[in-house]
Amino acid sequence: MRDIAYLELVCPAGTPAALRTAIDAGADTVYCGFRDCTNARNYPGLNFDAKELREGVAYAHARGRWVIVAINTFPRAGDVGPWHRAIDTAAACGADAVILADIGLLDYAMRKHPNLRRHLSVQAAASNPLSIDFYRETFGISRVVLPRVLAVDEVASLISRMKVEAEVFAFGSVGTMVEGRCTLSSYITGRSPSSDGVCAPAEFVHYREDGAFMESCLGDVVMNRYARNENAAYPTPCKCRLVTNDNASYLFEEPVGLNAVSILPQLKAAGVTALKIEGRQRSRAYVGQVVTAFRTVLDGLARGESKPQAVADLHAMAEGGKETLSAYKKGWK
Amino acid sequence: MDEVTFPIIIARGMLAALPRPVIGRGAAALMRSMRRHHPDLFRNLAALPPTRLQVEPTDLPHRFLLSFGEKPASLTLVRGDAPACHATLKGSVDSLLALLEGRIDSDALFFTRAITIVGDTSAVVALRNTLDREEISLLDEAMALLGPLRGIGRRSVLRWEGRAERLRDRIIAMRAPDAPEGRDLAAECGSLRAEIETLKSRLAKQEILARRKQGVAA
Repeated sequence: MRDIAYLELVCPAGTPAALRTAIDAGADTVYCGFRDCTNARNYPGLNFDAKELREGVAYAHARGRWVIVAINTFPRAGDVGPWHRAIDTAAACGADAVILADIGLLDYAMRKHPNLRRHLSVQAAASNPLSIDFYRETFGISRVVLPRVLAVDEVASLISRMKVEAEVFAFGSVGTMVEGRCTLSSYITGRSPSSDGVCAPAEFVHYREDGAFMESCLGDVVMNRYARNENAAYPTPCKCRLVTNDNASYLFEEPVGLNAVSILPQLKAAGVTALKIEGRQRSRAYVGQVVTAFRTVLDGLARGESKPQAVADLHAMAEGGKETLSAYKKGWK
Repeated sequence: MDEVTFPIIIARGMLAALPRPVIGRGAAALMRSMRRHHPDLFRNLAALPPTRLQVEPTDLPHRFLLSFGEKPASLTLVRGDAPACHATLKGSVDSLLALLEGRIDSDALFFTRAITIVGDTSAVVALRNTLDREEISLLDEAMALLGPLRGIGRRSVLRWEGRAERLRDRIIAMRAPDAPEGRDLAAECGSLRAEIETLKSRLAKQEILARRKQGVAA
């Protein structure tokens, strides 16, 4: 039985070194993916093979922690083999759970590996009790990762009406899209985040200097134009700067990073089981710094501190160098 | 092992002062040492598509060409015009070495514009992710070149680095007697400029919303 202090801390690992860093920094659970299209962070040089996963699981289990495997993209028509193999490999390597989004894969995992926990990925975009109940009754999911579009009171209301654990995002990228349904990046690049596992694939991203400005481009489309010393961001279509009526502005979402550290007691009171740190595509330095900060805060709250204590500044880790509570404190519906 | 800060002042001074042939031979020797101590890194680099990256420390008079994929990875000094390459990575030598060692988050450096990438981003992303799998100590690699004298060399380098840091701090304090300690006015100006841009964006968004509301009301 694991000893979870306050809330379970679920941390990203893009490499075996990042997995060890996360465990050493105090992650309760580490999530990772395979080096292919079966996970939503399919970037060059990133992710695990079967041997690395087996070693990572052994490292975590020796310290009483969990490793769960994200297989959270959607199989291409007529090519489900890589996704089935990924589930089989995760089970064979001793993973503690798989994170799935596709109903066919949930069904396969339930039938083939009934004792392997199934977590419903944020990519499934399940955000109401009926939907979550359907996944629980039909595929026996143990946990749902809630989409990043819910306010704290909505999270609380949802949890009170569902019978599985809830995991919510606490730090990292924010997304305004319906998770798992966004086609903005595929429209521009021809590669789908939902099936190929990459939004704004690196091979389509380029930066160019234009006098005092820097332009970031995705394919042939200029996503943003930065003045000297202005903080930069990833060239993702939902956070591009658009010119309307001669004004350049972020119409969908500004390049900002989620940081929910200040509302952890509210999330706990809402009935949340686990906090997810986003960022398997980030470095192990990011993993070490963010996990250490959250571990410190969670341990303080577990000791009875009434509110989160100030920890290391995570400002620089946030996309665009700016932090937000995003939908947790939204003023829109 | 004790956590040791890389002696960046000594390293930068040596890279700026040493003749080019010495730096070229030093880079090749460093790569040989790393290949011995990090075989997995070089295997993973060889598995990547053939890539040539220009690495440009902005505070040094040198540029380097890093080649990997298919052939064994190599680091050479660039002479004359920029060579044909897939991408260029620019930043202070401190940032670049911190990236190599995985001491700092590359995305955070990119957000703050401390490093810039021009060209094929996937080549740089693949390199970053491959490097991030390894725990590299450049100081250990450099000292390994000294053979049995590496212990003495390490202690000497760190002692000189400590002295250099104290001297640098004194010079900074003398040059800017009125500036509050630790303040980087250029960075603050840049940050304020960025904030103004953000506010302008928000204002534009509000104007659009207001116009929409007016339209609805009408």
